[in-house]
Amino acid sequence: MLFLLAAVACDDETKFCDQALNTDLHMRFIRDSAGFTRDTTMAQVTLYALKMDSIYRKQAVSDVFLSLSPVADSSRFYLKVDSISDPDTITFRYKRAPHFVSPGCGFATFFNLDTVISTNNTIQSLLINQKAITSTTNDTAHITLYFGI
Amino acid sequence: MIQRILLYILVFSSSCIAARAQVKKPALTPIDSSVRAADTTARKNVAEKKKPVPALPDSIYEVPGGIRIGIDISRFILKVFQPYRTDVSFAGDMRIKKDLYLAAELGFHSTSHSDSNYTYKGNGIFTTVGVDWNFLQKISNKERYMIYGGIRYGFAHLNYEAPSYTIYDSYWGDKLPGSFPKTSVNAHWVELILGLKAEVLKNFFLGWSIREKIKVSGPSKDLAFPPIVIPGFGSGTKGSQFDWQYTVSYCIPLGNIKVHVPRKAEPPKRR
Repeated sequence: MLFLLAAVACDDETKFCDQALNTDLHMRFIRDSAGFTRDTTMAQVTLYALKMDSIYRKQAVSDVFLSLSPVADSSRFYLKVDSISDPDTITFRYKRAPHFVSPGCGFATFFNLDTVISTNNTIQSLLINQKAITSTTNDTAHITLYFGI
Repeated sequence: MIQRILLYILVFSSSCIAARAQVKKPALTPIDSSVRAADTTARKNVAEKKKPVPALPDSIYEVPGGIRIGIDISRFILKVFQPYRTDVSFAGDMRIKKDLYLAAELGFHSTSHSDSNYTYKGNGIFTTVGVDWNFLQKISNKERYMIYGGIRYGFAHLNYEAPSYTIYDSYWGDKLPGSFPKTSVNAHWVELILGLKAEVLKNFFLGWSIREKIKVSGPSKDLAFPPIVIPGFGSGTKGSQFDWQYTVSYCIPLGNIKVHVPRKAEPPKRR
């Protein structure tokens, strides 16, 4: 009886990390055809931060996750959605704050978006749905990208 | 003359016996009409029956009192499961009524944790104050076993800090070092308790209890840096916490408590 009570009340919270520490920004692709919008899968998505390795390389995806720099207040990404379209550059400006996720996981960086600017070579417009980036498991995309192609 | 004096003494003593019988008998059983008819003593004192009956005295008896002071040894067992915690907790209670006890706890706590992600240091004190109600029906007035339910208000003050932490980022390849300065917070909670205590040797008690602690105010997991442990409460990121306690205690006898039992009203006589 006492052992059971001890097991319930005495779990070591520092031993296990049961949450993701990455706080990735989630972007969703929407195709806008004469005012009629729908989710779309882009055929060959290439995405990377400037001067960094690729996150996606010619992959067919309908949404992407990207990691903002934890040591700078802005990050700039290259996005090309298919082989024939011109690439775009998206610039994210944000505030950073360390956050204690749990005793088992330690600290992660939480972001809060200030502005998002993109070139309009292929991207028609963008919408910030949620400024706070605190969890990778969030189903709601932080940003929606609208394409006219 | 001597015969008259003896007669007066006899009448006086018989009237005294009759008066005492009137006080005692109704408290035991209602007098049956047939018995009343045969009670010749009462017949002799018709004049006394007309006098107003004095209020019956209430029953008073004594139960052992004192202050019970003990140490919670479950906190040392807890350190086996949670090595980053060091807790010392003292518990005490004092009987204020037959089944009601004034209870309090006092303790201090320190946390020290270090791994590849962060280091953490914290310390603080806590106290709880409340009452216990003994449900156990005792066989003897001197018996001091308890099966009880209780309620406590708890308060803790703590300081904590993260002298160093590192955030790793697999894509950017960065290690972001940092630290959180010392923070002072207070916490308030309510505890609901079920437990028992047994007198294993004269004035020595062993007891255990289970308790649910519900945080009323204090640091929450929404903070950028909540404490890992709140002294006396438990996890710093939970709103409620189940806990248990095992105490070894000694009762310092400080006299007895008088228990006042009001006499039950006499049932109305049948006519």
